[in-house]
Amino acid sequence: MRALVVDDATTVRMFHRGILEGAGFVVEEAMNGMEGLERALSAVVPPDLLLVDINMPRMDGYAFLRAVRAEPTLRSIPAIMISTEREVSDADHAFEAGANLFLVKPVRPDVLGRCARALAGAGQDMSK
Amino acid sequence: MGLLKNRETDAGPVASVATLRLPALLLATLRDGPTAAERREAALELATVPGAARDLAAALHEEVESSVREAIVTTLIVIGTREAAAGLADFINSDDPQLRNLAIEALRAIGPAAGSQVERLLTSPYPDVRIFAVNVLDAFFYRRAQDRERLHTILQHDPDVNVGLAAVEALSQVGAPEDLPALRAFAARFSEHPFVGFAVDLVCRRAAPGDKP
Amino acid sequence: MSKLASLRETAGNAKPVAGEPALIPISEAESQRFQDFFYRKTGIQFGPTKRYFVDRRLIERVTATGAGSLNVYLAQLRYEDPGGQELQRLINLMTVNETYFYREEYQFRCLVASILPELVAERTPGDQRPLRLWSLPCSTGEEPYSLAIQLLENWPDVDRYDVEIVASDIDTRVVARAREGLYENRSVQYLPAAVKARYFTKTSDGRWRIADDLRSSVHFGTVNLSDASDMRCHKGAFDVVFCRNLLIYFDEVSSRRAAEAIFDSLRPGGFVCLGHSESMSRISSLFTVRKFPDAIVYQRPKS
Repeated sequence: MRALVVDDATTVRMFHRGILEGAGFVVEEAMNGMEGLERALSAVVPPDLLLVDINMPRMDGYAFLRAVRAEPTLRSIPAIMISTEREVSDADHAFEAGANLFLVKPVRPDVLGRCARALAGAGQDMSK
Repeated sequence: MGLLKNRETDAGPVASVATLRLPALLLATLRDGPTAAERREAALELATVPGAARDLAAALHEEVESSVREAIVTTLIVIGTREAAAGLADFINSDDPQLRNLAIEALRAIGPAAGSQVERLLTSPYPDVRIFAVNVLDAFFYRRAQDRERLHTILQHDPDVNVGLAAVEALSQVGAPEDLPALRAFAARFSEHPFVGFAVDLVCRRAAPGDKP
Repeated sequence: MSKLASLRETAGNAKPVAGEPALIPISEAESQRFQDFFYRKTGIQFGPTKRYFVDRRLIERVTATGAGSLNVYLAQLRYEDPGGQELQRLINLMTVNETYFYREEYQFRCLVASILPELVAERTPGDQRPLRLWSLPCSTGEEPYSLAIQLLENWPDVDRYDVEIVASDIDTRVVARAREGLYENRSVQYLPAAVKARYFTKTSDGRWRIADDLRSSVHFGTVNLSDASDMRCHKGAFDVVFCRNLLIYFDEVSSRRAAEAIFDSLRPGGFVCLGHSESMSRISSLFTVRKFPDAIVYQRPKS
């Protein structure tokens, strides 16, 4: 399974990469929404999961998700949106933009791992 | 049809060259120009008018066209004064993510002239505003000792874990041995978060390779 | 006494002896000062690895102009170069041009297979304006001539529409060479043999001359992307801009400004293609990402 991690912070990308690789994903990274869009579009096989930060330069997480949802080849990829913001309104924005799940930073490895596998692996063998 | 020969068309400029316009006219066009193209043009021409910083920021409050917002921000970056930074800092707390992120990007590009704005934003009661302030500081703190001190203070005292994590991220590129005590203090304060330990370990290793984290 | 004259007094106005290499030391600080000056003029920045490259060429100009020292040379550039000729010579020396025909060919395929068809489909019926393509920087001409050849060879609609190819560079020497259309083997090596045979003739000294027909199909000129008045001339003029492997040399602010200028040079709905390892994600949010089968390119929004 393939995951795309979109976040402007190097430390966060590395942490999430470690968790997702541990959960059986091959991970690609992007440091802002526009780069994320380019990677998702140019991948030979589209990712099975998107992990998206909200606040990034160039193209924020909401704009990234909206752009992804507008692309036929990427429309139904499950997306976890991650943010520091705790207000309910942000979760609403996230779901409106097309997120399937909203998690608050800093994320716990076991939570992210389980959610990632659940979202991306629907239909796959989850016994591992 | 086909490729036009260069004797068939005039090979020179397509549009007539506009003469440089007075600031007052530019500002009026920026505010009230009916098309995005002319408002953009006015915004970009104002790059040679540092005194226009406040008016440019004011226009940014009203402008909804993306391409004009970009031009206004580009010009504020080029002007790069403390006044330009002050105008941009207003948008750090904006509900509009595009404006918020443009403001952060612009303040980062302006650099130390944005220092006093960063200082002010770091005293905000809202953790997210403090995070954004650290994101700005990230771009230039290594140039001035007092800015490095600010990061240490955040690591040692800020009550919000994500503000401290933004400071850790800032140190991930240009960390130095002098940052280690503050980094370790932060890790001790928030030891319940696995990411904190991970990030601090990573940055300590980079800051002082060979030292135990 | 004028500022320049007093500088000369202090420098001692040492005249180089013919044949002797000039021994003009350039300190780190002086090199930085020059690079700041050059950056402000052209938007081009050199990384620390380019220090030797820059200093050597700078010394060349300091010697050639008889300035004797970097200080005097910079002052001459500021106060005694009204036509900008020395600045131009300096720019020509500092910019590196390495290119060949059909470089990054996948973008030409994209142009013919996807971009041009979309542009013509979007046109209002009766729109007679030519389709205008811009190669910037054009260097010694391989890119704009490649465009011309690709259109003639691979675009089925090339006879249905007027196409104008404009080619510009900051460096006057390479533009002159581009107009000449004479190339070494190295430049033409990736062209299919049939294409080479159709559009080139071999000269007596083993070089390749591009057909006169093509030479007269490209409009060459000098343009500085970082000069607002230069760029103002090209507002809203183009359907497609090829700006490949240039912005990579620009720093954050000047690349942002360059993106604004490119945006303004495009018609609404127009496209810009960057180099293989470049991305607007590092430069500007002005453009929309467009994915085509052969390439990812960037579009100025239509409205």
